[in-house]
Amino acid sequence: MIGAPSTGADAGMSFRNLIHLAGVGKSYGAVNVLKPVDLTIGDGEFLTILGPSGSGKTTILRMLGGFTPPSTGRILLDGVDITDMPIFERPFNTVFQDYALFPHMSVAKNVGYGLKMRRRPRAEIDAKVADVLAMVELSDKAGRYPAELSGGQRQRVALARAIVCEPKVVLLDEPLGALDAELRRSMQDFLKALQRRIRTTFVFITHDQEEAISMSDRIVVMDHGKVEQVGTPKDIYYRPQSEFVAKFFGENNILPARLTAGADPAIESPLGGHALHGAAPAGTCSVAIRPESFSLGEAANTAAGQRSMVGRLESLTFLGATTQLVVRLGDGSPHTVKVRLPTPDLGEGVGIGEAVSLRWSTADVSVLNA
Amino acid sequence: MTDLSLAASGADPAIAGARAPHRRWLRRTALRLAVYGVPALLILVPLATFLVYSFWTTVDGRVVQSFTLANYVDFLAKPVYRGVFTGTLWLASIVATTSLIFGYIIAYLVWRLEGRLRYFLLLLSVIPLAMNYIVKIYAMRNILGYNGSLNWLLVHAGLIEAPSKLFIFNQTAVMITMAVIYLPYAILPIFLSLERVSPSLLAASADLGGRPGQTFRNVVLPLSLPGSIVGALFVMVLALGDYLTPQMVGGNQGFTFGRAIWSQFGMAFNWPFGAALAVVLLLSVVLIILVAAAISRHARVK
Repeated sequence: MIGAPSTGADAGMSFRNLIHLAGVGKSYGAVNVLKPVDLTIGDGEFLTILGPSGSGKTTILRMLGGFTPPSTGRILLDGVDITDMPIFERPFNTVFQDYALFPHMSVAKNVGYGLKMRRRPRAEIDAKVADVLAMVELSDKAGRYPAELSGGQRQRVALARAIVCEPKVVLLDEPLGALDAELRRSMQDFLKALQRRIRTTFVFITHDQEEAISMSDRIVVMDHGKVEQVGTPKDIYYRPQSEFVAKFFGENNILPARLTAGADPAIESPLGGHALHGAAPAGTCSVAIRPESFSLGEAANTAAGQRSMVGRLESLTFLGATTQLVVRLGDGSPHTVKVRLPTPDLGEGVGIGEAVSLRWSTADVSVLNA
Repeated sequence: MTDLSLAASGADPAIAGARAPHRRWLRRTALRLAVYGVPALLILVPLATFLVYSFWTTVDGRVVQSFTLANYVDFLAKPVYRGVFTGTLWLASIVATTSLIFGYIIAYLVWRLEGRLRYFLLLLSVIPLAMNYIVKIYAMRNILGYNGSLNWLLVHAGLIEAPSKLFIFNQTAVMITMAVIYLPYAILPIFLSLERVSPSLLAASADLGGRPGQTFRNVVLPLSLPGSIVGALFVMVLALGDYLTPQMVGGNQGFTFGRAIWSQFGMAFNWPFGAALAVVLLLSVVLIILVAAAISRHARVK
């Protein structure tokens, strides 16, 4: 339990590398369910693998846990190849989607199972089980059977069972999927707090974007057996690299664009043009900008790195704390953008059909790979 | 137009309402009569007849319809019948245990298979259920007999000098034959109880460091054993009442309780005593089924 200090989501890269997936891919016959992935997982990191069903996220988890052998590539743990290590020897433990609690064992027996398999002395098992049950606030339920517990309690038993052996990595396969919204919310906080406390690497599978953003140090976004992007929640949210990622998290404006390569690569879109850092192949592509990345402001007040444009207000929807505007980018332009502003910023002035001056930072415009 | 149709539809239920409940009552009564009546007629009435018969007696081969406990007293008093009864219980338990062990091994091996082969082998192992019972006994007689294939095999393998009479017309023959014939009845429930062990539990056990042997001992066996024992008790019930197998492969030694009952209704022509023995058998079967039910209920709660 040594290693990286507990850090916030923004410091995701400060972890020592623990696991390296080197070109790990999976296919069943001719069906390729996971294109080769290169990924490092840090020691003590909360890494979320996010994607819709069928995206290959569970396949990665199953290969990490040793339930399925990869078709290509190697899995390294601290530099040691563990690709062919059988499940029962891997220092990883899993929280299963359906919890997979042993129905014929009490809570304490379930939690102590891993230690029993490792033939630890009885006294040690009892002490550790008591410790972990206290950690998940289930000390009073030690003698109960899984069938006598609520969904949230079962979830915590599964969690306790997975951490009691002090694994190097805890693998969580959509563990909150079966819980109702309210319980889910509190389990998210609980899980995150527990992970900070024991400082163990968590690899967490989910299809819930909000869950991924609020809990993770880093997120791996997957779609159709392919890793779309890896980054901190803020990276993923504000700097999507593909249209899939841009659309996957909340609302986004996606506009067609043209890239010019050469010595000074630049991007040209309905939002005007600006220079790009780094090279990119020339051609058509798209750009994305978040509705909340816009503000209202005159061109005269535009700072360095900012752009502004006068558009026409097409609609206005009051959403409470924020208000959503749809603005046509210039008269006769085929493109509109959604703009989300804090309601107080809007004042009283703007009416439908009137001109509005939008301002944004070029840094908030993400160029998407086709 | 609207008013008219409204009025008409308003009047209709009033008329129909008076007739419909009556017809519905009739239909419901007829249905109830069928649901409760048919089983009662086909199952309870014959059983009740037996029960009544068991309290009668015979004088000079004629049934006398007067209440007496003599048949039950006879059963308890005559060591011959008590001996046959306990012997049959013992035989049935051995058959059940054998079926449990071999049935479990076969069901487990089939369960561990994957894909089409698994269901093909399962089908293969229960296909004997579709065969005629007497044909199966004859087949076993052919295998176990003096000139049977078992003796032929043993002689040719050089294990014995000459064909042995040890395998036929004795208690062992009855045991082996019953165990073989009733094996499919054990395999099916055992397989089903193995099927109920969720694959994710096996994955969880392995994930927590359980080697295959440990997973079997700690997860598979405890979860599938109750259902398997229920399957074995089912075999025991079948073996208890079987009178054909003992008769056909048991010879003089194979006298079981089922045969005793059969002979009371046949040669001895003492129906009341036969009925009393049948009631005793029925009660023991009910007792076994209650034990089986208790086991499966206990297993479900946990």
